Amino acid sequence: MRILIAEDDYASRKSISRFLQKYGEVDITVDGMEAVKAFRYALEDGEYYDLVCLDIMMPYLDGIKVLQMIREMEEKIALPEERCAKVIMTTAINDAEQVRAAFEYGCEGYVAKPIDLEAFHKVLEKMGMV
Amino acid sequence: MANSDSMAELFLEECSSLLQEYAAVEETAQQCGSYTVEALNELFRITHTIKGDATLMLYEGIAVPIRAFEQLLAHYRSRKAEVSYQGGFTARFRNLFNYVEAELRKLECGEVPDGDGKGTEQEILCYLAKLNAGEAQDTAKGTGSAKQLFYVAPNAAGEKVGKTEWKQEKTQPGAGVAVRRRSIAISEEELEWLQNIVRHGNEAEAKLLCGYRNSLELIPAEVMGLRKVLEELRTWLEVSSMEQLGYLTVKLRRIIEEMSDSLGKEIELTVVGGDVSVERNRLGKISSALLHLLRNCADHGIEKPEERIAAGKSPTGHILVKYRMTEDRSGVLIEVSDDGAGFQMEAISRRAAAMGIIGEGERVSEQQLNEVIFTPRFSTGEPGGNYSGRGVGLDAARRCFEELGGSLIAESREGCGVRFIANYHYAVKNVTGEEFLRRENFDSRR
Repeated sequence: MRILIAEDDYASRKSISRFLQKYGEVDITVDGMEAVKAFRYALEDGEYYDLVCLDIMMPYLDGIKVLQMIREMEEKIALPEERCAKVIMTTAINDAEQVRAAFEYGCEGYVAKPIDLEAFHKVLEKMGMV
Repeated sequence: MANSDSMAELFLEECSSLLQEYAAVEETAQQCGSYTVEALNELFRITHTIKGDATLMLYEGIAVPIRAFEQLLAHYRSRKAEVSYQGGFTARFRNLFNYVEAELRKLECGEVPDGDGKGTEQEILCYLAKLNAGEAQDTAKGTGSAKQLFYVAPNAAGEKVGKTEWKQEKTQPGAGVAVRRRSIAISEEELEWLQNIVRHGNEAEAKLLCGYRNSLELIPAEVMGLRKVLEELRTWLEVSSMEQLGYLTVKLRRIIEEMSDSLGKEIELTVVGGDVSVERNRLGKISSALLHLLRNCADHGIEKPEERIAAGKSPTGHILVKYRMTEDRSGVLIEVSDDGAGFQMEAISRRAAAMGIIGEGERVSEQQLNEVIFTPRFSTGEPGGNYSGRGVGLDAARRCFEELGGSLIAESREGCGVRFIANYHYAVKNVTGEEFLRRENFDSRR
């Protein structure tokens, strides 16, 4: 499984990548712009990401914008649904309105920080990714 | 008469809350693309309850289409089907929702819910017939295709992964706390009783203060302690019986979205001052009135995008809803304004003449405007339009505010827009001991 992480905080980045390493190949980016670039390169190379974990609060480009751009890129090349990345937002904000808005933009999961790793694993299971 | 009023109030309250549950189910279905079997069961339960209540109250106009909807839901239930959101079901659902909501609004404004309901019933039954005949299809491809979403609540204890300590990010207070909200409900009567008790407390406080009128500093500390308790009770009462007007914003936005869609106009709604609070039991009437005004702005006020561009305006129309407390904090000012075409004096004058309000060929003056447009049955619109034209809206809006002890006026400039200004006073102010003293000019001998 190919995984892309976007997280601007070092500690969080290290924790999430350590956690996800056991599921597959993890690529790490430190802000929104890098994440979009990374995703685009992957699409161009045909090495699609299966899972993308996006922090929402990031400098330059926030996670929601990245989510929108990812979906736009996938739509532009008419990527079939099975190949589209599953996107999980990870963030400290768990206000219901924000969560609902994120889902409306097209993510599949929303994990509030501090991350409950056991639950995260269960969600990945339910998504059929592990 | 008093008995049937409180029954009607109860029906109104229950039905309104059931409609909110309807809306919640619809929203979830919109997000995941279909109504799951559980969602349909939920809808069935809600529908069944509304049916029972409406039949009890002899509101056949509501019961009739609800029964039809129940039949439609039973159809899906028997097949354990999942229904696609994009199909015909949502349209029928929305129509039923809007119809029942409109009937409830009549109740709110003290009118009889006299809708026929047959039209809505027929629409639903026809659709059901088509489904049965195989002419329509709206079941989702199967549970697999509906996108399941996941939300993981924050882990309050934080998590240590490997050598890196999980950094506790600044979470909102209460994040990670158990979600189960424990709450109790108290009836309006109980709340009133509490308010009464507090009022007695205020009086007692006032009498006590009387004795110390000239030497407040001699009040014993114990009494000050009691006063503090009373003060806290008063504040709590005020806060708990009030609700922020911002609470209505979601509903207002939904209505504007729907209207924008069906009228083919682009309308942007801005709400300012949502933190102003009003008594909870007033919210319904205010909501009603606001919806009437918004409909007026959207239907008559804001022009179609092409017309707006031709008039040199931006293609998107704007409606502003502004809430403000009056200077002396005794009431609330509510403004609804748009940047549309304004009242068309020509058309209004013609209609006024036709209704005999003014003479033939006369023009309605600025002063007369407020009398004319709020007249019952007054409308320059085509009757039977989706949102207005029946001459009910502005009249109903004004009545809502008047029933709240307030008023509603309108200002307009042709080509620029209309501004509705409403105000009303808070019903009861919890009065402090000192205020009470001042107001009543309390005599210690009493």
